Amino acid sequence: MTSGAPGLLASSDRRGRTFGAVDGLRWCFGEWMPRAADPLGTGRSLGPRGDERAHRLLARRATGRAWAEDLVRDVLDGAWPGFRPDRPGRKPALDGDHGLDVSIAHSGPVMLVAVAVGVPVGADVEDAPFEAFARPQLVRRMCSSAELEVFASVPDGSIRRRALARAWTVKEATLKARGTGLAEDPRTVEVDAEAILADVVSGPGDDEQRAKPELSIVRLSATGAELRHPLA
Amino acid sequence: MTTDAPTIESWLMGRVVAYGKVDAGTFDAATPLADLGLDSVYALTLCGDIEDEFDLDVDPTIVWDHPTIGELAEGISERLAAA
Repeated sequence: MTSGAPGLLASSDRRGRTFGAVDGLRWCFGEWMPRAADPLGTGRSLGPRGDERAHRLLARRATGRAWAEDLVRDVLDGAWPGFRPDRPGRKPALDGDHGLDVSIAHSGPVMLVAVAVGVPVGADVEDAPFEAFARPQLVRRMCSSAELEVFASVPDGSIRRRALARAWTVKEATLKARGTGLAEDPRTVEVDAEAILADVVSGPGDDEQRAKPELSIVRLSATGAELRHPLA
Repeated sequence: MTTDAPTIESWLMGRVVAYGKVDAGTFDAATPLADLGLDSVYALTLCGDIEDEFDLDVDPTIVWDHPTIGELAEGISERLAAA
Protein backbone atom coordinates (compact mmCIF):
# COMPACT_ATOMS: atom_id res chain seq x y z
CA MET A 1 0.00 0.00 0.00
CA THR A 2 1.45 3.35 -0.99
CA SER A 3 0.91 6.52 1.01
CA GLY A 4 -0.40 9.68 -0.61
CA ALA A 5 0.12 13.25 0.51
CA PRO A 6 -2.61 14.65 2.77
CA GLY A 7 -3.81 16.83 -0.11
CA LEU A 8 -4.85 20.42 -0.38
CA LEU A 9 -7.13 21.51 2.39
CA ALA A 10 -9.58 24.30 1.76
CA SER A 11 -10.65 26.52 4.60
CA SER A 12 -13.74 25.39 6.41
CA ASP A 13 -17.13 26.34 5.00
CA ARG A 14 -19.94 27.89 7.03
CA ARG A 15 -20.95 24.45 8.26
CA GLY A 16 -17.46 23.85 9.62
CA ARG A 17 -16.50 21.30 7.01
CA THR A 18 -12.95 21.00 5.76
CA PHE A 19 -12.47 20.00 2.13
CA GLY A 20 -9.57 18.20 0.51
CA ALA A 21 -8.73 17.22 -3.04
CA VAL A 22 -6.08 15.53 -5.10
CA ASP A 23 -6.34 14.31 -8.67
CA GLY A 24 -9.44 12.12 -8.93
CA LEU A 25 -10.30 12.23 -5.24
CA ARG A 26 -12.27 14.65 -3.10
CA TRP A 27 -13.31 14.46 0.49
CA CYS A 28 -14.82 16.51 3.25
CA PHE A 29 -14.56 16.15 6.97
CA GLY A 30 -16.29 17.82 9.88
CA GLU A 31 -18.77 17.55 12.71
CA TRP A 32 -22.22 16.50 11.52
CA MET A 33 -23.56 16.98 15.05
CA PRO A 34 -22.33 19.75 17.36
CA ARG A 35 -20.15 18.53 20.20
CA ALA A 36 -22.41 20.62 22.43
CA ALA A 37 -24.90 17.76 21.99
CA ASP A 38 -22.30 15.53 23.58
CA PRO A 39 -21.84 17.06 27.06
CA LEU A 40 -18.82 14.96 27.95
CA GLY A 41 -17.11 16.08 24.77
CA THR A 42 -15.81 12.57 24.30
CA GLY A 43 -17.52 11.72 21.03
CA ARG A 44 -19.56 9.12 22.91
CA SER A 45 -23.28 9.02 22.74
CA LEU A 46 -24.85 9.49 26.12
CA GLY A 47 -27.44 6.88 25.45
CA PRO A 48 -30.41 8.84 24.15
CA ARG A 49 -33.86 7.35 24.48
CA GLY A 50 -35.41 5.56 21.55
CA ASP A 51 -37.12 8.47 19.77
CA GLU A 52 -34.15 10.77 20.09
CA ARG A 53 -31.83 7.97 19.00
CA ALA A 54 -33.90 7.26 15.88
CA HIS A 55 -34.01 10.95 15.01
CA ARG A 56 -30.24 11.23 15.42
CA LEU A 57 -29.59 8.21 13.19
CA LEU A 58 -31.85 9.62 10.47
CA ALA A 59 -30.14 13.01 10.71
CA ARG A 60 -26.71 11.37 10.48
CA ARG A 61 -27.70 9.40 7.40
CA ALA A 62 -29.21 12.48 5.73
CA THR A 63 -26.12 14.56 6.51
CA GLY A 64 -23.72 11.97 5.10
CA ARG A 65 -25.68 11.75 1.90
CA ALA A 66 -25.97 15.53 1.61
CA TRP A 67 -22.20 15.90 1.99
CA ALA A 68 -21.67 13.19 -0.63
CA GLU A 69 -24.04 15.03 -2.96
CA ASP A 70 -22.04 18.25 -2.54
CA LEU A 71 -18.82 16.44 -3.54
CA VAL A 72 -20.43 14.61 -6.46
CA ARG A 73 -22.01 17.77 -7.85
CA ASP A 74 -18.61 19.42 -7.66
CA VAL A 75 -17.08 16.60 -9.74
CA LEU A 76 -20.00 16.34 -12.21
CA ASP A 77 -20.38 20.09 -12.79
CA GLY A 78 -23.62 20.31 -10.83
CA ALA A 79 -25.22 17.03 -11.90
CA TRP A 80 -26.59 14.70 -9.23
CA PRO A 81 -27.35 11.08 -10.22
CA GLY A 82 -28.82 10.11 -6.85
CA PHE A 83 -28.19 7.00 -4.78
CA ARG A 84 -29.18 3.46 -5.67
CA PRO A 85 -31.57 1.70 -3.28
CA ASP A 86 -29.95 0.55 -0.03
CA ARG A 87 -28.19 -2.80 0.03
CA PRO A 88 -27.93 -4.18 3.59
CA GLY A 89 -24.34 -4.47 4.75
CA ARG A 90 -23.00 -2.65 1.66
CA LYS A 91 -21.80 0.91 1.29
CA PRO A 92 -24.00 3.46 -0.51
CA ALA A 93 -23.68 3.40 -4.31
CA LEU A 94 -24.49 6.11 -6.82
CA ASP A 95 -26.96 5.58 -9.62
CA GLY A 96 -25.90 5.88 -13.26
CA ASP A 97 -22.72 5.17 -15.18
CA HIS A 98 -20.39 8.05 -14.37
CA GLY A 99 -17.57 6.05 -12.77
CA LEU A 100 -17.75 7.67 -9.34
CA ASP A 101 -17.50 5.79 -6.06
CA VAL A 102 -18.58 7.18 -2.68
CA SER A 103 -17.73 6.25 0.88
CA ILE A 104 -19.30 7.72 4.02
CA ALA A 105 -17.91 7.22 7.54
CA HIS A 106 -18.88 8.54 10.94
CA SER A 107 -17.80 8.21 14.55
CA GLY A 108 -19.54 10.08 17.35
CA PRO A 109 -20.03 13.65 16.12
CA VAL A 110 -17.48 13.50 13.27
CA MET A 111 -18.00 12.48 9.66
CA LEU A 112 -15.75 11.83 6.66
CA VAL A 113 -17.05 11.53 3.10
CA ALA A 114 -14.89 10.65 0.07
CA VAL A 115 -15.63 10.54 -3.66
CA ALA A 116 -13.22 8.96 -6.16
CA VAL A 117 -13.23 9.06 -9.95
CA GLY A 118 -12.82 5.77 -11.80
CA VAL A 119 -11.65 3.61 -8.89
CA PRO A 120 -13.19 2.21 -5.70
CA VAL A 121 -12.73 4.25 -2.53
CA GLY A 122 -13.15 3.55 1.17
CA ALA A 123 -13.15 6.07 4.01
CA ASP A 124 -13.13 5.57 7.74
CA VAL A 125 -12.94 7.79 10.81
CA GLU A 126 -12.62 7.11 14.53
CA ASP A 127 -13.16 9.90 17.03
CA ALA A 128 -10.84 10.38 20.01
CA PRO A 129 -10.26 9.18 22.71
CA PHE A 130 -10.57 5.70 21.15
CA GLU A 131 -11.83 3.94 24.30
CA ALA A 132 -13.01 0.91 22.32
CA PHE A 133 -9.40 0.13 21.41
CA ALA A 134 -8.61 -0.68 25.03
CA ARG A 135 -10.71 -3.84 24.70
CA PRO A 136 -8.62 -6.96 24.04
CA GLN A 137 -11.67 -8.64 22.48
CA LEU A 138 -11.57 -6.05 19.69
CA VAL A 139 -7.80 -5.93 19.31
CA ARG A 140 -7.39 -9.65 18.79
CA ARG A 141 -10.25 -9.72 16.26
CA MET A 142 -8.81 -6.85 14.18
CA CYS A 143 -5.06 -7.54 14.22
CA SER A 144 -2.94 -10.28 12.68
CA SER A 145 -0.55 -12.12 15.01
CA ALA A 146 2.36 -10.02 13.68
CA GLU A 147 0.43 -6.79 14.30
CA LEU A 148 -0.54 -7.97 17.80
CA GLU A 149 3.12 -8.48 18.59
CA VAL A 150 3.98 -4.91 17.57
CA PHE A 151 1.12 -3.29 19.49
CA ALA A 152 1.85 -5.45 22.55
CA SER A 153 5.23 -3.70 22.80
CA VAL A 154 3.55 -0.66 24.35
CA PRO A 155 1.21 -0.65 27.36
CA ASP A 156 -2.43 0.36 27.07
CA GLY A 157 -2.72 4.14 27.04
CA SER A 158 -3.37 7.03 24.67
CA ILE A 159 -0.47 6.15 22.33
CA ARG A 160 -1.43 2.51 21.93
CA ARG A 161 -5.12 3.32 21.51
CA ARG A 162 -4.43 5.94 18.84
CA ALA A 163 -2.11 3.57 16.97
CA LEU A 164 -4.74 0.84 17.06
CA ALA A 165 -7.45 3.29 15.98
CA ARG A 166 -5.31 4.37 13.02
CA ALA A 167 -4.66 0.74 12.08
CA TRP A 168 -8.38 0.06 12.29
CA THR A 169 -9.30 3.00 10.03
CA VAL A 170 -6.85 1.70 7.41
CA LYS A 171 -8.33 -1.79 7.60
CA GLU A 172 -11.93 -0.58 7.56
CA ALA A 173 -11.31 1.87 4.69
CA THR A 174 -9.66 -0.95 2.73
CA LEU A 175 -12.60 -3.29 3.30
CA LYS A 176 -15.02 -0.54 2.27
CA ALA A 177 -13.03 0.13 -0.90
CA ARG A 178 -13.09 -3.59 -1.70
CA GLY A 179 -16.83 -3.57 -1.11
CA THR A 180 -16.61 -6.47 1.31
CA GLY A 181 -16.92 -4.76 4.69
CA LEU A 182 -16.85 -7.11 7.65
CA ALA A 183 -17.75 -10.08 5.44
CA GLU A 184 -13.95 -10.15 5.02
CA ASP A 185 -11.84 -10.79 8.13
CA PRO A 186 -10.02 -7.53 9.04
CA ARG A 187 -7.11 -9.59 10.42
CA THR A 188 -6.25 -10.43 6.80
CA VAL A 189 -5.86 -6.76 5.81
CA GLU A 190 -2.21 -6.05 6.54
CA VAL A 191 -1.09 -2.69 7.90
CA ASP A 192 2.40 -1.46 8.70
CA ALA A 193 1.94 -1.60 12.47
CA GLU A 194 5.54 -0.59 13.21
CA ALA A 195 5.29 2.53 11.03
CA ILE A 196 1.93 3.49 12.53
CA LEU A 197 3.22 3.09 16.08
CA ALA A 198 6.42 5.00 15.34
CA ASP A 199 4.44 7.85 13.79
CA VAL A 200 2.08 8.09 16.75
CA VAL A 201 4.97 7.96 19.24
CA SER A 202 6.78 10.77 17.39
CA GLY A 203 3.66 13.00 17.41
CA PRO A 204 3.49 16.12 19.59
CA GLY A 205 1.35 14.42 22.24
CA ASP A 206 -0.27 17.71 23.28
CA ASP A 207 -3.96 18.25 24.03
CA GLU A 208 -4.71 19.36 20.47
CA GLN A 209 -3.11 16.22 19.07
CA ARG A 210 -4.88 13.99 21.59
CA ALA A 211 -8.27 15.39 20.55
CA LYS A 212 -7.75 14.71 16.83
CA PRO A 213 -9.76 11.94 15.24
CA GLU A 214 -8.09 9.33 13.04
CA LEU A 215 -9.03 9.43 9.35
CA SER A 216 -8.07 7.12 6.50
CA ILE A 217 -9.01 7.08 2.82
CA VAL A 218 -8.00 4.14 0.61
CA ARG A 219 -8.20 4.16 -3.19
CA LEU A 220 -7.83 0.93 -5.10
CA SER A 221 -6.46 0.76 -8.62
CA ALA A 222 -4.81 -1.72 -10.96
CA THR A 223 -1.45 -0.72 -9.51
CA GLY A 224 -2.47 -1.32 -5.88
CA ALA A 225 -3.92 0.52 -2.92
CA GLU A 226 -3.20 4.14 -2.08
CA LEU A 227 -3.61 5.26 1.51
CA ARG A 228 -4.15 8.80 2.69
CA HIS A 229 -4.54 10.27 6.17
CA PRO A 230 -6.22 13.67 5.59
CA LEU A 231 -5.30 15.09 9.00
CA ALA A 232 -1.68 13.89 8.94
CA MET B 1 -22.38 -22.40 30.65
CA THR B 2 -25.92 -21.39 29.75
CA THR B 3 -27.33 -22.07 26.31
CA ASP B 4 -30.86 -20.73 26.86
CA ALA B 5 -31.84 -17.75 24.74
CA PRO B 6 -33.35 -15.54 27.51
CA THR B 7 -30.14 -15.67 29.56
CA ILE B 8 -28.03 -14.97 26.48
CA GLU B 9 -30.39 -12.10 25.62
CA SER B 10 -29.85 -10.55 29.04
CA TRP B 11 -26.08 -10.94 28.69
CA LEU B 12 -26.16 -9.30 25.22
CA MET B 13 -28.14 -6.34 26.56
CA GLY B 14 -25.51 -5.92 29.25
CA ARG B 15 -22.75 -5.90 26.65
CA VAL B 16 -24.49 -3.26 24.52
CA VAL B 17 -24.83 -1.00 27.59
CA ALA B 18 -21.18 -1.65 28.49
CA TYR B 19 -20.10 -0.34 25.06
CA GLY B 20 -21.45 3.06 26.14
CA LYS B 21 -23.67 3.64 23.12
CA VAL B 22 -27.02 3.49 24.89
CA ASP B 23 -28.41 3.56 28.40
CA ALA B 24 -30.09 0.56 29.99
CA GLY B 25 -33.86 0.77 29.79
CA THR B 26 -33.90 2.72 26.53
CA PHE B 27 -34.13 -0.37 24.31
CA ASP B 28 -35.43 -3.91 24.35
CA ALA B 29 -34.67 -7.23 22.68
CA ALA B 30 -36.68 -6.25 19.59
CA THR B 31 -34.72 -3.04 18.92
CA PRO B 32 -32.60 -3.42 15.78
CA LEU B 33 -28.90 -3.51 16.62
CA ALA B 34 -28.30 -0.90 13.91
CA ASP B 35 -30.59 1.48 15.82
CA LEU B 36 -28.37 1.02 18.88
CA GLY B 37 -25.36 2.46 17.06
CA LEU B 38 -23.65 -0.92 16.80
CA ASP B 39 -20.99 -0.03 14.22
CA SER B 40 -18.18 -2.17 12.80
CA VAL B 41 -15.92 -1.62 15.81
CA TYR B 42 -18.56 -2.79 18.24
CA ALA B 43 -19.77 -5.64 16.04
CA LEU B 44 -16.22 -6.96 16.07
CA THR B 45 -15.89 -6.37 19.83
CA LEU B 46 -19.12 -8.26 20.37
CA CYS B 47 -17.71 -11.20 18.40
CA GLY B 48 -14.71 -11.22 20.75
CA ASP B 49 -16.99 -11.04 23.79
CA ILE B 50 -19.14 -13.93 22.49
CA GLU B 51 -15.96 -15.91 21.92
CA ASP B 52 -14.82 -15.27 25.53
CA GLU B 53 -18.20 -15.88 27.14
CA PHE B 54 -19.43 -18.91 25.17
CA ASP B 55 -16.24 -20.28 23.59
CA LEU B 56 -17.97 -19.79 20.25
CA ASP B 57 -16.21 -18.43 17.16
CA VAL B 58 -18.60 -16.17 15.22
CA ASP B 59 -18.17 -13.76 12.31
CA PRO B 60 -19.37 -10.14 12.55
CA THR B 61 -21.89 -10.90 9.81
CA ILE B 62 -23.88 -12.68 12.53
CA VAL B 63 -25.37 -9.29 13.41
CA TRP B 64 -26.75 -8.94 9.87
CA ASP B 65 -28.18 -12.44 9.93
CA HIS B 66 -29.70 -11.78 13.39
CA PRO B 67 -30.44 -8.03 13.40
CA THR B 68 -31.99 -7.73 16.89
CA ILE B 69 -30.72 -8.76 20.31
CA GLY B 70 -33.53 -11.29 20.60
CA GLU B 71 -32.73 -12.88 17.25
CA LEU B 72 -29.00 -12.83 17.98
CA ALA B 73 -29.60 -14.57 21.33
CA GLU B 74 -31.63 -17.25 19.53
CA GLY B 75 -28.88 -17.67 16.95
CA ILE B 76 -26.16 -18.07 19.60
CA SER B 77 -28.34 -20.47 21.57
CA GLU B 78 -28.89 -22.65 18.50
CA ARG B 79 -25.17 -22.72 17.70
CA LEU B 80 -24.30 -23.64 21.27
CA ALA B 81 -26.90 -26.40 21.32
CA ALA B 82 -25.50 -27.78 18.06
CA ALA B 83 -21.88 -27.64 19.25
